[in-house]
Amino acid sequence: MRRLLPLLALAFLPGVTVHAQGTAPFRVVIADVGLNGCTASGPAEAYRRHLEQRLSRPVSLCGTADTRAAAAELRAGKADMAVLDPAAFETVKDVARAALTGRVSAQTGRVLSLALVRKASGKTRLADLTGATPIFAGSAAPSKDVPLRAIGEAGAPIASFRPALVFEGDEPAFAALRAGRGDVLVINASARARACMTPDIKRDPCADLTELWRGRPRAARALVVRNAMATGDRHQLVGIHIGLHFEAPAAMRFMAQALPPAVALDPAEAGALLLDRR
Amino acid sequence: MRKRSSLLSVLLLLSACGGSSPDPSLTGWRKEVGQIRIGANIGEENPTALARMEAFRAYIATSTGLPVKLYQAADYNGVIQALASGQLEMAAMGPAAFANAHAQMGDKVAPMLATRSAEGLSGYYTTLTVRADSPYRTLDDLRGKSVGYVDFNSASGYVYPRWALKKQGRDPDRFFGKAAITGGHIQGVMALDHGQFDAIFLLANTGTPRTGFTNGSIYALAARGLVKAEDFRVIWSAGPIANSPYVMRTDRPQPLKDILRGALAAMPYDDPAIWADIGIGAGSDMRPMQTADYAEVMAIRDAEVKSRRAGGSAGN
Repeated sequence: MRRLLPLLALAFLPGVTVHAQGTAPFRVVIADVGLNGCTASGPAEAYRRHLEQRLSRPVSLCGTADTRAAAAELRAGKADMAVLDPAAFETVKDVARAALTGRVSAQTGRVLSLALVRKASGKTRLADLTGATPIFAGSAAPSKDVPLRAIGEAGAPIASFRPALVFEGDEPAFAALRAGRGDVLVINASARARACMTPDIKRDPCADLTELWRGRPRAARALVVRNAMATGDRHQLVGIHIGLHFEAPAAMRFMAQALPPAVALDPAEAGALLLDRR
Repeated sequence: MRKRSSLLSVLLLLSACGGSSPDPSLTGWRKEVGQIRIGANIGEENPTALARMEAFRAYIATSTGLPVKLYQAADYNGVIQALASGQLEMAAMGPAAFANAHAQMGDKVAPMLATRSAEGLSGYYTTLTVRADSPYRTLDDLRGKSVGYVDFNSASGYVYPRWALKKQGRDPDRFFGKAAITGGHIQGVMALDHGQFDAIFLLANTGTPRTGFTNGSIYALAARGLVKAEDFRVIWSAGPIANSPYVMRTDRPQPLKDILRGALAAMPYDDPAIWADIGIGAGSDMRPMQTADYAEVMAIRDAEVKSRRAGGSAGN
C-alpha cells in the first residue's frame, strides 16, 4: 500500500495520468497551445479528461515544438492524433488524413463551393476566369467569402476579377449569369441544389451551365489521424468532438486555441489540409 | 415477449445483412449491443432513396462493426413505440414525433443530429397548400373551408401550423369549416389533388418563404410523376421548425452513441454519394442537436395535447 501511495497522489495531480498497466494510452500531440510537455492544466486538462472519459482509455496530451514535430510523432506512430497545418500535413499525407476542423461560426463552416459558367462561354477551367465578373447569391460568408476563397485556392485568378454582382437570393443570381451580366456564378452547393433541383428527374434545369470546379476551402488547421486508424475509431473521435461546444465547454475552449478561431468542430474530408487544384 | 414481437411487426424491414444469431466474435460493448436497429418514418415519398438505403446500412455497419437493420414504419407512432420499448437503437423522425417520444421516454431519448444547409440553417417550413386551379389566394380565403392535416405527430403537418395560426389570432378549430387527418404526406397531397380537401398542411424545405421552396412533399411526389408541382400553390407558410433529428436511446453504450453520431456527421465528407442517395441535398451537412433545440416544438405539442384533452379536436 505504501508503494501505491505516490501513484495515488500523482493520480490526483491535475494533468498527470497514471495509466493502467496494459491499457495503451491514446496519444494527442499539439503545438503552439502552451502545453508543457505532457502536463496539461485548465482547459487543456478539461479536454484531456473529457476525451479520456469518452474513450474509456487513458489519454496523454503532449505539446510539441511546432506542427512539423507533431507530424513527425504521428508518422513515427508515437501519436494517434495531432493538430497540423497544411505545411506539416504535407510531410505525412501518405500516412495520415484530416478528421476534424474548426467551424468559424454557427453559420459558417468549410462550405462545399462551386463555380458555374454558361456552357456557351466555352470556359472549362478556373484558369479561364481571368478578368471575370463574379456573381454571388448572397452577401453572407457561406454565400460569398467562403466560396470565393475556395475557388481562389483552387486556382481561379480572383485577384483579376472585376467588381462583383451580389444578389440576395439564388434565382436573381442564376438569372444574372444566364443573362450574361456576369461571367461566373460563385456559390455554395446548397444554392446550386435549390436552383437546379426539379420535380422532373428527366429534365436538368441547369443543363445550360458548366460546373468548373467543386470543393471546400482548405482548412488552416485540422485534427489529423493516421490512415491506419479504424473508420469506427475515427468516427468515434468525430462524434466526441462535434459535441464539445455544448457537452464540454471548457474542453472546447482548448480546441478553440488549437484550431483557431473555432466555435465548434466539424468533420473533415481526408484531404482538408491540401489544395484541391484540378 | 409477445408485445415485443407485435411492435417490430409494424415496422417494415428495409435492409439487413447477416444472420439473426449473435456474432460470437463480438466483445465489449459490441457484444452487449449485438446489432443496430434503425427506424425511420421519413422518405415515404421517395422509394428510390429507400432502395438505396442499402449503402447507408453498409456504411453504418462498417463504422460500428455491428450488423445493422433498417426499419420503415407504417406511421409516426410505430417508430416512437419501437424506440420506447427498446427495440430500436436509433431512429430518424420529425421534431413533433421526437417531442412525443420525449414525452413518453423522458431523457431516455435524445436528438443526435439534424441536417444543416450550407448557410448554417437547420430548419424547415409548414405550408398551407391549395390546388393551383382553386380560387384561394390568401389564408382568409379558406375561412370555413376544409383542411387536411398529416398526422397528430407531424410537426409540419399538424402541430406547428396549428400553433402558428393561433399565434396569428386564428383558432384552426373554428377558422376552418372541416378538418381531418390524412395519415401521411403522400395521402395529403393525393387527397388535395383529388379534391377531397380545399387545402392541406405540408412540409416544405430547401428554401424559405422569401426564396420559395424547391423540395418537400409535393416535389417528392412530382419527381415520381404522381402529381405536377405546378398544379399546387402555397398560400401560407410558417417556420422554420428545427430539422428532423436522428434520435438515439440514451441508455445505449457511450462508444456506440459517439460512433453513430460521428459516422452520420462525417458522411457528407467521407462519402458524398451515400449522402446524396439518402436524399439529402449536396452542400448540407449535419449539426449536433440537443433536446433544448426542440424545446419550442415540445412546448407546442404539450399545449396541443392539453387542448385536445380539454375538448378541442382536429376532426371538427
